[in-house]
Amino acid sequence: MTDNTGELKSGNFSYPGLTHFYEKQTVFEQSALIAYDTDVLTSSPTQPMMSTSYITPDFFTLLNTPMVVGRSFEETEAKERFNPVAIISYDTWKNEFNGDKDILANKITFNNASFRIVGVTAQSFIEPELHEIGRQTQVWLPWDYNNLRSMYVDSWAYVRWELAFVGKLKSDFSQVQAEQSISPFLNELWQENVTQFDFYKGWQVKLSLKSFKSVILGDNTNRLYLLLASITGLLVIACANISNLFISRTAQQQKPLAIHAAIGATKKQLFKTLLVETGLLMTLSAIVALIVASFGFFILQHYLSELLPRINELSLSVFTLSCALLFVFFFAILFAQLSNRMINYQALNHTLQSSGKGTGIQVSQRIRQCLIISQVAIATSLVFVNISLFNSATTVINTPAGHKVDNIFSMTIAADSSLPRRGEETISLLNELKNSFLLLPQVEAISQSSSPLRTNSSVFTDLGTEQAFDVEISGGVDKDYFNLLEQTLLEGDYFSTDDIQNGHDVVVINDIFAKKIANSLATNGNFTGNIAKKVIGRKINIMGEVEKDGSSTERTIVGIVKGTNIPDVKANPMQAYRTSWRASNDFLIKFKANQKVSRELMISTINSVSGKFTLFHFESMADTRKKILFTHYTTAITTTVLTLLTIFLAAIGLYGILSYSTQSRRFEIGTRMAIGAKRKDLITMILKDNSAALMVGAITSVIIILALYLSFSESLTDYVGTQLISMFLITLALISTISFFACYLPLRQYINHPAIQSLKGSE
Amino acid sequence: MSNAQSNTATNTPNNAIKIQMKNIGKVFETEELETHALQNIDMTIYSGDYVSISGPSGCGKSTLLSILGLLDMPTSGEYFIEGVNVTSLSLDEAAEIRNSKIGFIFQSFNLIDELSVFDNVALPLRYSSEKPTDAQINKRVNECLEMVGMSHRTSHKPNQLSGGQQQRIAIARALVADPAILLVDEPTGNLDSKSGDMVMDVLEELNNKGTTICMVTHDPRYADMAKTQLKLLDGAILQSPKVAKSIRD
Repeated sequence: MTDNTGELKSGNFSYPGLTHFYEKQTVFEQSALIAYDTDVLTSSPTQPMMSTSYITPDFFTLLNTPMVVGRSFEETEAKERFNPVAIISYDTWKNEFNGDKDILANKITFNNASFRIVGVTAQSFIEPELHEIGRQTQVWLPWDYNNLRSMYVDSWAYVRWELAFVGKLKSDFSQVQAEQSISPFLNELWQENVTQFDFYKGWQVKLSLKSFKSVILGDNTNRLYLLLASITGLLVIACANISNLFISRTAQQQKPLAIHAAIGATKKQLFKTLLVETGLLMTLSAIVALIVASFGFFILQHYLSELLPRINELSLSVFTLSCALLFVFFFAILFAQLSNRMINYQALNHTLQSSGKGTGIQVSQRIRQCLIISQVAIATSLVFVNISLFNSATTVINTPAGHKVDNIFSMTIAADSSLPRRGEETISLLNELKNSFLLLPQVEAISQSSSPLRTNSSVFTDLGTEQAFDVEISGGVDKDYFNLLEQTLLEGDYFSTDDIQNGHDVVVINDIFAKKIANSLATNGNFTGNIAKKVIGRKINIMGEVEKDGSSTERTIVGIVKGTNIPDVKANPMQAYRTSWRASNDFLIKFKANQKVSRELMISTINSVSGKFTLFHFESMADTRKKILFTHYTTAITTTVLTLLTIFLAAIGLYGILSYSTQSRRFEIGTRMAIGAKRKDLITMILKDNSAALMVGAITSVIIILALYLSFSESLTDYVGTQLISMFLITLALISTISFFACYLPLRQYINHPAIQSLKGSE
Repeated sequence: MSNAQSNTATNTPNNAIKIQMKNIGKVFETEELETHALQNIDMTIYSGDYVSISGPSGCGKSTLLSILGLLDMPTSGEYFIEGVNVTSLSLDEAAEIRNSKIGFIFQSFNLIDELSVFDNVALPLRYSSEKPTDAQINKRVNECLEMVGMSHRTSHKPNQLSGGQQQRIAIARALVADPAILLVDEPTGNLDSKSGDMVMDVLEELNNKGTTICMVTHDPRYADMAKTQLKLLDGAILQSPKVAKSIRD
């Protein structure tokens, strides 16, 4: 759906648009409708919330869904048949019904309607996550019973994100052909039905088909590539480190190798010996890696299932085990070959003749320098990226909410379909419910308002200047909202009882939005006078808000409050609050300190008022905030782990290379000590000698980081800022400290002992 | 008369004593084994002396030279260089004494391949606590290279020189800080006889000019060139015929 400027405004269907499309389309050989929802399972004593999908029967045929018990939907459950049956998922069967073998004799109730269970999907069935990542339907119900039907069946002007269409194209239609053939029909149909809305003048509807793969992967591709880049970086460091360790080990094994060679071992035989050794090591490593991977899968599936697609499918399988085996072979041969190539028969001969004195096996200085540069470059880049992401995540986590959170719960009440949504009976019952909650000794205050953590982005237009603003708008608040949350009023007034009772078109805005409006009114764009005087009383319109006659709704600004911070919304947003409906089913309840609060208490209070209400949602704001911040917590944890792992690997790698480098200079160090070099002189020398490679490594890391930024500049916009300079300096300090110790520690064995130890064997 | 003594005392004036060892012992310990590498070594080396230490393999020659050069510390006894007790110095104090009082010449030259001849010779001065200026270093290095006949090779790298030439560079490096004594470890061990002879000629010439030398060698021909010969056996000094002769004289 695009507006008159061609800008994409929505990617969703209207209810009638979808059903018309489903009925009239001719390009799909199989197709199904889906309405995703969440409903309370009222037939269960605990009334759990369940992920439900209202579908047409072809959904299961399209996905070739295996059933473990019973059957899938049939034609008798198709659209407009109103046949109350249900299919439950394997997990729901196991968890809610304890795997009851007689499950088909059970009925379940949602929204006062009873559904007979006719089937259970097989454990092997994994529903494509088309709606949101990590969402797996628990109960499938026939399309006819979807909750949107009553309100939106004829609403062409409202698009709903819960609606979806899935289908299999006929073999003689390509994706483009299908889009081109359907779009004009859809557009024409939609235009015919929204002519009365001036707002949609010039808008267009165009069909856009997406493959399952692109929907499932979504915008995670870039994220996964970044993760893959990090893992590749770590793998490169690990390989470089292991190679280095093998090189050092081969150097140490010079004498036994020389003896093998002296008694007739050919290079091929020495390779076989080395291969056995590397093979055993790699096998042991693979076993440890598989154990760690299993643990990693467990962590990922428990904590990141809502973040990364198809993560629940991760497991150790024949494929992964075969891959592990392949890697064991590959790395065993690689490292054995690497070690074998270092064996210089001439040097081995010399080793025996000189009774092991001297260094027959040497890694060239150039290779050593390259290893140091690559270690520093990759480690610095990875640590920098991870520290930056960590900093960004913790900044969001630690940003104060700007309003009270403790002991406040948000609650949503679901009403029976027999109650008219905005009817007086509903309003009266909700008022009664509100008073019943206030009578509870645990409750301190209540507000018929949406959670401050649930906001939407919207465009506000100043009707005086036609200036548009991107604003975060709340779901509707009443007169008690700001007091309950202890959100400071700066100027003007909160909403009055009259505003709520009579549904006045008023709005309260935050200080940042007020400042922006005032600035837009100043000739130089920077207003310095009394903002409240300038802003309060101005008329604004919220995009899409229209009167019955099709004209834009005019809302008057009545107050200015101090802004709050909403997790996952950019810092210091412009915010606005509009009045809630009297029939609003969203509540905020503030409990007294140290009170025991339970879902059961809420349900019994609701039931005492009316059996037509069910508790749909009840959660503390602290928990909601934690859930919203979950991605940031996982980012913080993941980046911390990756940083520590990178530092650990880089430290081992740098230590390995510098240790080898220092060991190969043992006689030189001994000689310098013999002619009077003090410990300080030698530490300075080693640092100075390695500083060039370390510097080149650091410069290379800057190039890598710049290349990363240029490649992913769009995704990284939120992270780029002057704070990155300090992050880079912290990273450099960290890597420098590691490098210092990697230089110093191997040297310690020489400089802290009498010089003769370094000179032994130099004759 | 030679100035060196072993297991004997003479009335040579104290101010001429360069090195004095009293009852020096060295024990190497492992978990299972205790090896007495040196025992009851009494030794005095006077200014201008040329001492050779010889003996069979494993008799303790190298251990004795290491202790003389403060590369290693004795397990027992006392050790004085120019009257200063150096028996139990810290590692850095020992380094300072090595830098200012001792010049080392190793069997395998121990030149640093990455440095030029000039820089190799200048190295002890770079570590000197007196911090000589570049001009002073330049002058002194050239003097020493002149002394060993290698002033025309200042910018060469060690691997561009023959063994004999490398050893002469090592001698120049040992002399550059004007040490109290030159400690020489098998100086001809890695050289052919002609180059070996040339190096020994340089050492003799230096001794004739007043440089005190203590040399470990297993070659009797070169040991004979010393004014005093010490023989070691099982970590103890045997009486040298040449010392006996000098005492009789």
